[in-house]
Amino acid sequence: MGQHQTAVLAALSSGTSMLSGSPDALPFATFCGEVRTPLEALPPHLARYDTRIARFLSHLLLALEADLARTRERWRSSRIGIFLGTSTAGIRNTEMAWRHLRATGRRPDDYSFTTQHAFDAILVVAREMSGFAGPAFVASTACTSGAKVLGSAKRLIELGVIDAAIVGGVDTLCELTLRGFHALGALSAGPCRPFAADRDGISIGEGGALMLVERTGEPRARLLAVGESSDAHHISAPHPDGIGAQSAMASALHQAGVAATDIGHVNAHGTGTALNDQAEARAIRAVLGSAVPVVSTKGFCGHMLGAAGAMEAVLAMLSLEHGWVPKSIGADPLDSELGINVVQARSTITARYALSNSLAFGGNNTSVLLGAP
Amino acid sequence: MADAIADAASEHLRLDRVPTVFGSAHGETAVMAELLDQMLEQGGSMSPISFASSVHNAASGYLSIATGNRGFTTSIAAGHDTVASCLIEAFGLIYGADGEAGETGVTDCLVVVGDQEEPARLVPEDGQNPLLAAAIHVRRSGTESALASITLPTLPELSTAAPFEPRDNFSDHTCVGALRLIDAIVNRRAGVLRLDGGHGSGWATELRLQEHR
Repeated sequence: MGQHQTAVLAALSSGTSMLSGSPDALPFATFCGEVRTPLEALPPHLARYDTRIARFLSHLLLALEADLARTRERWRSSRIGIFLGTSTAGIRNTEMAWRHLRATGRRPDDYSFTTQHAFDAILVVAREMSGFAGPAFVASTACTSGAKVLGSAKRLIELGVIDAAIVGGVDTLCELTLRGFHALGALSAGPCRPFAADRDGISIGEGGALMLVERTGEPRARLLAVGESSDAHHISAPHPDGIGAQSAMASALHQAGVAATDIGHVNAHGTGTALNDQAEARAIRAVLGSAVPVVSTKGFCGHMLGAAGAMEAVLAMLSLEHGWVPKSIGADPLDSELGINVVQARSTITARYALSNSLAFGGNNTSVLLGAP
Repeated sequence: MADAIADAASEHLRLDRVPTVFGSAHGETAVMAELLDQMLEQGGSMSPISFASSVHNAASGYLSIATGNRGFTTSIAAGHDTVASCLIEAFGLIYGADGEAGETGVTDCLVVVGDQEEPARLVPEDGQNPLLAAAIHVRRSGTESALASITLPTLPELSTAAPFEPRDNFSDHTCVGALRLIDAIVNRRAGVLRLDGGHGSGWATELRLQEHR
């Protein structure tokens, strides 16, 4: 959607989708949210970790550096955590290595499972670049990963273990996920159209988003609660009534003592599959009613999987900050049977609270409750 | 992992209710290898069930489905710090101010860690882990039936961790900390324990034994 907030806001405001045809040669049609701008290489001492996903992270860390510098002054480095969500980690590199292996019988000389594939490789990059030495882990719960880490950071700040944390998610496009979602029949051949009557699946995106969560500071938003639950229903399909999504949203409201009527908008998971949007709409109706404005921002950038929860929490925060909600791209003609108030054109909001939902494989659900400062 | 969970189960553990924290440095690598082969061998058609089972939180999701547990579950990776990270997450869940259970608060948590052998084609033989999984039932302090108590894991400069002395064949394993913790509890050895085999950041916990057991 853009490399910096100004570009992201401009895209949101104008309702411009960034989805385009898949960059990989695939035996089926699909649209993706690909990061097309060149990405800077990692610093030389991190060359072994220089993968596409690490470059996303490095880009975000450099963009956040002014805030990180202030945080460094404010808190001891051992009391600043790093919590990152990803579903793909460095599998993009492993795909390339696997092809090479099968063609030649040998691992590529420059391939390393430990520094390129492994989930903790991005933690090394984040630690080295930020200098933060507190607890650091990856949460990988598929499409809720980027939101789960907000819950971890919040609890550990409340517990007094840390005072601040870098929190977010990064994921890259790769063939395995594109083919996997295609095998599940969940991939749209065109740009995804969340909440549309004729929606037919998701578009996968890549990229990331980072947030700095602090005990005290100069907040752009308040992280009030993260509701987390399970469907206990199916490994890859949501419960038809969205019961896990309901309890995640209800839990977030309960934890923060915020009334359902105070929620000004929901950044929905809204993937654009028939099942997800129907289940989530039922859950939103049950917990928040049918009037609350609902937007899916996946029509802009696609489903960023392990990064989606972080990305959408940031987009919800931008809405609170700027007082408007973007158009839910692709929702025309709207599926009227959903019974929710899908945002059809950029709209002004005045409410001080927003929910950002993420729902994942494993029946894993999160709902992040954010408040204006 | 299923065996480890069964071993950790006690009369106090309600698998349909207990929050779960899963940890694995590398996740479902065998399923991933299978999918990569399918991608290249069968003209790219992939098993949808295998794909859905390739996510890092597959075990966490399947346990929730199998037991009807609709509560909190997560899946964590942090290389050789995975065990320590899972325990830190468990402390956050149990003692974080709000707690997922709201009014009642979270009183316990099942920590399950495991890693399997990395695909031989990707990792040199001397760098591979053997299959290992362990589960620990963590409860709020003051629980009378607990076998032992542990402190929140701390970093080396903050702890007085004893020098690490290998006692088994798993010292390179990403999950060795859990094995060591269980070994110390079962064999009644109190003290400060490093939660990695020497390759991680050095997170350590102090183990105190409960005398009544």
